Formats: sequence, structure tokens, C-alpha cells
Amino acid sequence: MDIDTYKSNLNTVKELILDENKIVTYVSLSKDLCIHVNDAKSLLHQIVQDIRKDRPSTKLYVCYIISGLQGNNCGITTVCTEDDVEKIKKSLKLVFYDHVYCVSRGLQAADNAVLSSLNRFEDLSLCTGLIKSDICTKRTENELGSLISKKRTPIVEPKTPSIQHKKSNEKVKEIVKSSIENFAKLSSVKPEPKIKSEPEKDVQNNPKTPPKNKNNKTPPKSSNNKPAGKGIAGFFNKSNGVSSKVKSSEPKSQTPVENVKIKDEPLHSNSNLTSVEESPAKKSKEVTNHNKSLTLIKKNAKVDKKRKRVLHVSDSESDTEANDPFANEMDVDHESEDEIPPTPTINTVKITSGIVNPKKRRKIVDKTYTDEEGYILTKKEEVYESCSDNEENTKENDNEAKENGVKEKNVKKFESSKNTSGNRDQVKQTVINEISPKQNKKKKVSPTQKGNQKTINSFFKKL
Amino acid sequence: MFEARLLRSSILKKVLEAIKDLLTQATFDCDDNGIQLQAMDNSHVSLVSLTLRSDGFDKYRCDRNISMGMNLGSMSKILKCAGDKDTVTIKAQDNADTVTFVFESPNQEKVSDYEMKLMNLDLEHLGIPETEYSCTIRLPSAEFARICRDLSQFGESMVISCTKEGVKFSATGDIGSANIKLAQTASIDKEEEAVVIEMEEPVTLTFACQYLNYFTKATSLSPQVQLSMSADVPLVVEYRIPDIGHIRYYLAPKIEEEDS
Repeated sequence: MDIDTYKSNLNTVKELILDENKIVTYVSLSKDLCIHVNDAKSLLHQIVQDIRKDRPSTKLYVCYIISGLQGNNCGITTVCTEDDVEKIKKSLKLVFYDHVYCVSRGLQAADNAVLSSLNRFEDLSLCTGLIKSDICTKRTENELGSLISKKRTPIVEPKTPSIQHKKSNEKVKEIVKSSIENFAKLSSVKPEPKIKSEPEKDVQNNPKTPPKNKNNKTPPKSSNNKPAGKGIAGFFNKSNGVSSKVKSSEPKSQTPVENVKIKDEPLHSNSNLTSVEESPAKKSKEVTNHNKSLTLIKKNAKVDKKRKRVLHVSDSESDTEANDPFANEMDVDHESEDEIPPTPTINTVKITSGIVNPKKRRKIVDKTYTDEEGYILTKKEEVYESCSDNEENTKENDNEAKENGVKEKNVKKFESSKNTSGNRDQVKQTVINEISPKQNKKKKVSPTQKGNQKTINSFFKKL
Repeated sequence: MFEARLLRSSILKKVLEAIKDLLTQATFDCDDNGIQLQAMDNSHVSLVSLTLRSDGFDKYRCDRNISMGMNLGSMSKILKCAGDKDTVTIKAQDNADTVTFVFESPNQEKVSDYEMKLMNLDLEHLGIPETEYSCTIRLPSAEFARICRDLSQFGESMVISCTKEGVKFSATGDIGSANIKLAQTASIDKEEEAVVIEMEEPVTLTFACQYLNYFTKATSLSPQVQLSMSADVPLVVEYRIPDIGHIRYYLAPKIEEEDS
């Protein structure tokens, strides 16, 4: 990410938090800005620091997600308020990672319903670099609704020693899916009282320890924690089973402020994917699949290539244009002749702007132009692409495959429509050429066709 | 007062199925002899002639001659409400503008009646001269239906050629040509399955497959169909309805103009 992009992203997020009073999670950020989840995390961290520095009077509510190993060698992943960070970290024998989970202005972000609706399961696949378990499932609306009202205690999952080693080295990326699954299992099988009470106990007993994120120093913590913790716990437990909006894969994001997920999952460092318990093969598959989908999206971007937009997250404006298939065609016609079709690059990222329109995707596409002097220039441009609900609803792997299929179809359709509009005459001619010989043949070959159909009236007279 | 009662509604249902694709509306002429229907399709290429004799009905009463113009689509909908084994009674008052269909289940436990509005249709009866046909072919109706269906895949028209060797159905189209030859059956074990050809002189005529396919909707009415042909006159496709009458289709041939 270059400096300009970083700054513009920073401003965008600040606007979201300060002006629009939105709750921003690293998942939503990754999705909306089309950036790697790790970048989203660091961006959130930076923003918290900046805001607190520039506007000390502004109250920020920051949630952290912490994963580590407890004394009994049980793994735990929890989302907690800023106040609880240190306590929880103290209670952990080993901290795998901790980072900002979500930021909001003056709000108590512990509202499970809000978080779950913010990080939708469908969006998870759009986040670059997010690791998701195959076991993740999407919860139904009813399930979510009922879960929100229930208060449940956190669940702890036992971790295997092998996992611990691997995890210990890495920070940052959490794998939500597995944790969620485990969650569900644990909730029914191994609820541990210790863990359930963990957050509260931690708050009371543990002395505050310096959190990783120094930024987190907000006032409303204590008051916020109580309600949030209970509600979240309940939400978590149920959500682990099946959530409507958030699927298991990235449910971490949905989560609850206080609580804990237990993980078996692998942590992966910024660049390296160290798979812990889950087979590395799966992850690599996911990664490759993702790349494939990205490539396809880039291809599709050709269709929309005319749409040049400044990366800007807005709520409504672009909908009509982006969704209008004819607009794309029109654009194509206006395209300069010098333009070379966009080159698909690995950097291309698909973004679903949840903020603007979940059915739209914004992509960054490398476009190559020849300027007046004959130099070839490559620019990164954003294009919008509409995507169907079906694509969003399917599971990740299926999703990618389907998306690819659908997009390819779209491209084909588009091309065919192009042909028909642009080369109508030619098409007509070819059609005529194809048909006419047959018709001629018919006339020549079949004597049957030669006859004129007589009417009955010519044989029978009226009475 | 007109009242006609059939023990099995299935006959009437089959009759309707046999004509409703070809005709949208028709006039049923009722008199002492029975019910007759004559109508041309919209394009006036074919003509349907239906005769249901009064003695074929379980009960038949016709005080005055009456012509009932009916929408065949509506009539078909009503008849679909009847079970095959139901008894059907058609009733109409003199000069009434409605007709009533009464369906009674075999055990009389269920009786339903449906009233349908009649239509004023222009009567266009055509005089069909008695003709001595050069060729008459009797064959199983199912076989004829199969031939029409198969050949219609090859072209819009079918050539029926009757010679002393037998009858040949042929069609030609984009995908190629098809010929089906039927020879007269040597030994007739079952009359229904026999192919019988009576020929005075060879005839070759061309007809539209589409109409022939419409005619074959009557296949369920009779196990046999009779084709009668003479040069330059309409083909007659006749299905005899056991014990009650017949349905005849007349189809104008396609005639090649001399100029071409």
C-alpha cells in the first residue's frame, strides 16, 4: 500500500468513525477498502492512536481480540474491551496475538447484534488474507435473533501442545471458523466454569498490565463491559452453532465484545501462513482459490473498465450507475482507442462495499494506456461490479467457483451483446448466410415444400 | 328440450381432445339422428366432420333441432372435470343460451353439473360431395400417428404415395429425407393391426404434417384409421368411434403449380 492510498484509507476510516459514527471492525475495513486484513488491523490501530492524539476529547470505544493459552493449556480467543485487555493477557500463560477488533465513537460496541450484522458471513470471503475454516457455517436470521437475547458464558477449548508452539510465534491473523466450531462443540460438551467467569474475574482480580496496544485508554470501559459481556457471551455460544449472518469462517468479527472463543486454529503471521491444526493444504487451497477468484474478477473488470472512480466509500451514489448494465456498454463505446485492455494483476482486489451496496463490488484494476508520446502507462483504477446474491450466499469455495462461473458467463454475455450491437450487420449477415443455404436447400431438395397449400373451400362449396 | 346421455364420458372427452387443437369453437347441430359437427380450422385448410348417432347414446331426446355454438376450450375444461367412468348428460332448453353438462359418478354418489354459455356462430356448412376415392388405406391408428410424428421432424410436408406395392410416406428437410413404406398385410390375424390398401389407381399427394398431427389426436377414439385419397381432392382421415359414429378430417393437399 503506497502512502497516498494509506492516507486516503486513513481519512476514509476516520470519516466513518467520527463523522458517520459507524462501528468499524478490521473485517469490515478489509472488505470496504479492499485491503489485506493485516493492513486493516494496523490501520485501525493507527487510527485509534491518531484520534486520541489529535482529539483527546473524543471518546473512542475500542474492542480488542486476544488469543492465547491459559494455565490449563486451553486455548482461548476472546473479544474484550480495552479495560479487560491487560487482565486477560495476564491470565494467559501465552499470548498468541492481540489486536484491535473494532472501533467506534462513544458507543458501546459490545452490542452483539450490531457486530453480527456488521460482519456478514458473505463478506468474509471478500476480505483479503482472511483465513476461514471450511467448517464455518452461516447462521440463520432466527438463530441470530434468538441468540442475541440470550446470555451465555464463554467457552474454552482445549488446545493441543503442538498448536501452541506454532501459534506462539505468530501474531495477528486469527482463524475464526475453527474457533467458532469449537465453540459450538464446547458449549454443548465442555463448558468450563472457570472460563465462563473469566472476563469478570479478570477484571476484578488481575492487575492491569500494559496492553500491546497502548492506544487503548478509554473511559467508558468498565461500564460498558458488564452488559456487553453477558449479551455477547450468549450470542457467542449460540452463534457458534450456526449464525445466519456470519458464517463460521470469520465469525470472529461478528463477535461479542467480551468473550471468548476457543480455538484450535492456526495463527498466521503477516506473511507466512503457518497452519497449526488445520491442514496446511486446506489453507493453501483457500489462498489459491482466492487468487483465482481475484483473477477472474479482474477479467470481469474488463467489462466495467470504463467505470473509473476514485476510491471513496460512500453510501449511495454509485449504485445506479454501477448496477446499470447498459451504462457499462455505453462506457465501452466511449473508451479511448489507445487504451489497452486492463491487465489482470495479482494486486487486484475485489471489494464489496458493504457500506455502499453489498451487491456491488469495487475492484482495483491495473489498466494500461498508451499516451500521446507512445509510452505505455499503467494505472490502478477502481471499477464497480455488481454481483448477485447467490454468489454471496454460497460458501467460500463454492462461492469462488460459482463467482467465477457467473462472471465468466457475464463476460460472455457482455461480449455477445457487444457483438450484436456493434456488428449487427455482420451478425445478421452471418445468420442469413447460415440459414439461407438451408432454406435454399429446403426449397431445392424438398419437392414437398413446393406445393401451394390449397384451402378446403376450393374443393367444397358452401351449401 | 335437448338431452343426450352417455354412459361413459370418456368418449366425449376424447372427441373434444381430438378437435380442440384444430378448432377453437364449433357448432353442434342436434337433431333426431344425433349430433353433428362440421367446422373448418381458422386457416380453412382442413375440415372436421363429427357424427355421433343418436342410437349411440344411452338416452337421447331432441324435441327440436338445435344448434349449440360452443367454445371448445371451455367445453374441454368442463369435460376434464368428469371422471372417465362418469355418466355425462348434455342438456339444453329450446332457444336457451346455455348448455348444462351433468356428471354422475358410477355409484350415483356424486353428481355435478356445469353450465356453459352458448355462442352465436356463423353457420358455414360446406357441401361434401360423395366421392369415389382412388385409394383407400386402412392402418392402425397408432401406426399412423407414429408415422406423422416421425416424418414431421424432417419437414413441414409429407408426401403420401399409394401404389400397388403399398403406401409410402415420405418427407424431406434440412436434416435429410425419410421414407416409410407400408405394404399390405399378408395375413390378417387381428383386423385392427392390419394394413389394408384398396387402390384403383396410384395417387401421390402432399400434405402439411402439422394438420396430420392434429388429426392423430383422435387416435384414442379408434384402433384403426382410414385414409382416402384421390388426385387433387382433399385427403380424408376417418376414425370410426365404436357404436356411436365417426370423426372425419378433410385436409386440402398441397398442389404444385404448373408454372414452377
